[in-house]
Amino acid sequence: MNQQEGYADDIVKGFVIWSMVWGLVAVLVGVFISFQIAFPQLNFPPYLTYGRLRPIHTNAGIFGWGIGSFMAFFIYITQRLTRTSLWSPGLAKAQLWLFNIVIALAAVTLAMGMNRSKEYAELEWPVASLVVVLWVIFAVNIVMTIVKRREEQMYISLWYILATLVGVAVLYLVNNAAIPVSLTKSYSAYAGANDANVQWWYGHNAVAMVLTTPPLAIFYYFLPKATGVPIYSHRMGVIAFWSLIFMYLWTGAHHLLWAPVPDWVQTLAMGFSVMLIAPSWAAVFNGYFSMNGQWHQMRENYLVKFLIFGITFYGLQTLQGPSQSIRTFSAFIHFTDWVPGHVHMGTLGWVSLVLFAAIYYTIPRLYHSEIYSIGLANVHFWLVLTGQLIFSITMWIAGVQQAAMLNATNPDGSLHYSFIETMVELYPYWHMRAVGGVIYLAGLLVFLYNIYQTIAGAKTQAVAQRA
Amino acid sequence: MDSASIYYLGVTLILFLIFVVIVVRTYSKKHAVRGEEPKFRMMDDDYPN
Amino acid sequence: MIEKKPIIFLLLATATILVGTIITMVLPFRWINDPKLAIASVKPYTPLQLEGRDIYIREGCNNCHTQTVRPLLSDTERYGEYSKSGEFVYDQPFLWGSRRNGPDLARIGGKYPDAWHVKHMKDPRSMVPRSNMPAYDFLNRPLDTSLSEKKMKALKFPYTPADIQALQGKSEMDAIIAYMQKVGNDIPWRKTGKTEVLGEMKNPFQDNMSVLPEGQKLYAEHCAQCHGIELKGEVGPDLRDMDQPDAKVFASVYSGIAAGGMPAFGDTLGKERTWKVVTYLKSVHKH
Repeated sequence: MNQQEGYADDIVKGFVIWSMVWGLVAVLVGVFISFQIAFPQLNFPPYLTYGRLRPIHTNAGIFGWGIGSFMAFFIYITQRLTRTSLWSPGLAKAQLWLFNIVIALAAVTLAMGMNRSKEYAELEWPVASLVVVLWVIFAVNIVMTIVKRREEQMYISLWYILATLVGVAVLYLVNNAAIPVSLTKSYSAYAGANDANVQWWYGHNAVAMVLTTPPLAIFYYFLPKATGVPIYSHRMGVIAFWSLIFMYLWTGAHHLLWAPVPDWVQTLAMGFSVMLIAPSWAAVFNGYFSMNGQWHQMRENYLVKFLIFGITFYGLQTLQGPSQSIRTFSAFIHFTDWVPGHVHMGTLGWVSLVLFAAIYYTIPRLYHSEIYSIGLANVHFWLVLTGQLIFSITMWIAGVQQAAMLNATNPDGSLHYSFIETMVELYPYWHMRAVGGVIYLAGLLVFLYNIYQTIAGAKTQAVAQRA
Repeated sequence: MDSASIYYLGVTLILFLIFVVIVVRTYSKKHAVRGEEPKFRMMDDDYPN
Repeated sequence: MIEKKPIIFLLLATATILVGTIITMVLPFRWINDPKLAIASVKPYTPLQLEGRDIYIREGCNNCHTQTVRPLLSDTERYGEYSKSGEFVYDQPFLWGSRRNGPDLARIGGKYPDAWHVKHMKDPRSMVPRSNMPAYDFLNRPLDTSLSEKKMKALKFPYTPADIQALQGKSEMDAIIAYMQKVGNDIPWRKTGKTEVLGEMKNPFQDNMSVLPEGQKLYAEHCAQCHGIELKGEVGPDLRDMDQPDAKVFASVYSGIAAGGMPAFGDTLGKERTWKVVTYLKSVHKH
């Protein structure tokens, strides 16, 4: 523990560093599978096929990079907003070990084909059970820290943190219910259309409780810290908070439009998805209005650039998402490359940009030094931005083209193209996406080098001072 | 209107009323100062009290 | 008030989350898989089919293939009858998927003969030239049957000891193909939905030599995988010197021959291109 400041910060360092390791794994695997789609010869069965690697990509991204860094910043933010040290630093240390064991186990078991097939809930029951233990340890530590706080009122970030803790718990437990056959095999407890409905209630609210509320907590904390100006409206944050966590849970079935689940469930999902624009954009406006009179910081302060671009992509994401959840549009683009384009704007644009800013802000403070190079941070910014835009825009065009071809008919009413004829047209786009991925990876490597140098510099400095 | 649609409308109305209550309470004069207080206090949290 | 009491806040947040959860996730259990929506002809998986399904899950096939036909023209014309919830009551987990890097497989059962699948799994590009599917040659290894009986018991599917005994000597390839042939085939949609050939059954290109190059190209793309590039036959029969009227050949290509495992190409080719293929076929002779 860092006794000087009275906050348990060593554990934050551990989570930040390991989340970056898993983030690199996620992007490396992502780039590799993007090449596999374009060049099928790159599949090396049985372990290195697209079918087995894609879940490793998503799990390393969402759980390794995402959850890992959220754990870091929840611990960092909660201590500061409650002005008290972590309830149990020892428990947090155990949590870091368990976290890394779980993610490593996930990667190994998925490569071996132990896979429940439910998206973002692929882990077989023994690994999933460890995830539950991990989450309980984490949640207890954060909640107990908040309970013993020295600050009377809770800042909005703490609201989002608490909602995340309970939301993830409910979702994960319900969707992972399974009938075990052996240690390495189980069947879902639900059947057919029921299983689909439970899965997408889970799947879309993983987007809510993992890819929305935690980055929002982090954004609401680090934007004022980076700009030195308080958030525009705390109360608007409060209204948006309740609306957001209320409405998100209704929207899962927009992944099942036109599928055999009850029509009214689909319609509710569609309606609530559109309504979600309001609370989502409340956060966007809160970010933008906080910048009143501060826009010059976009030029001068690289942290602000990451954060404001991040919230901008969140805004775009929460307009595109609802439009996709409308039946007619869904009929057109669902199952095409449009959707991966959408998802990566959220993960690479929104979530990762905010996390980069938070890491750039905290690492120098935790190690009592300065960032190694602001120039490199800017290079990092432009590389990841370019890579992500190439990825998303290419995939949107590919999706629209394929959808148009799939729907094209002959004068006699028969379909003009076979499936394979629409698919082979996608190769140029897939090559382009792989290029976007490589550029993104280059940006990530610049980032990791910058952070590595910052930490290494801080350590030599400390040694020099002692001598 | 059948009973199902009245029920449906009723639930919608109740939810909307809850929303209005939250908005009115949050933006009431009584809460104006307190509601915005955390955003100022969080700016200086580098050391525990 | 709430902002000062974290435990009460936690409970309230939970309650807020549970409203939508209960209405859109818990309540539908009352309607989905309702006995009224049950389809009598839908049967549970046999031990071999279930093992095949588990291989499908293990290999992550659902990352590229969906298994749900939407009630939309572009889906039903391409794949067949739209999916009904009653067809999935034995699917734990469901395998509807979310992205079509490859075609939908909800109606794959019975579409191709087993031999087609074997060839395609071993080397997808030998059957579909520009496919990006990985080769699954390694599935030729023996099937692990140690859990088969436990699996059937866990899912409460009926089986006989003979069924389990019959798994001996099977390969993983046998299992996944058994599964493929079962998918979507439990409702008699092919019989009811059989493509009807209406209108004039006269070949518009009869004796029109100018369409032969296109007919040959279409044959190479769609037919050669099974009948051979020289029409000598392989998975399907020899097609040289066909002693059949044009209209009959057209019907076979357009609607398929269910009994012989010949798929229908009407959806893919449309009428005009089907006639061109027919014209080409009739032009090829042994000598």
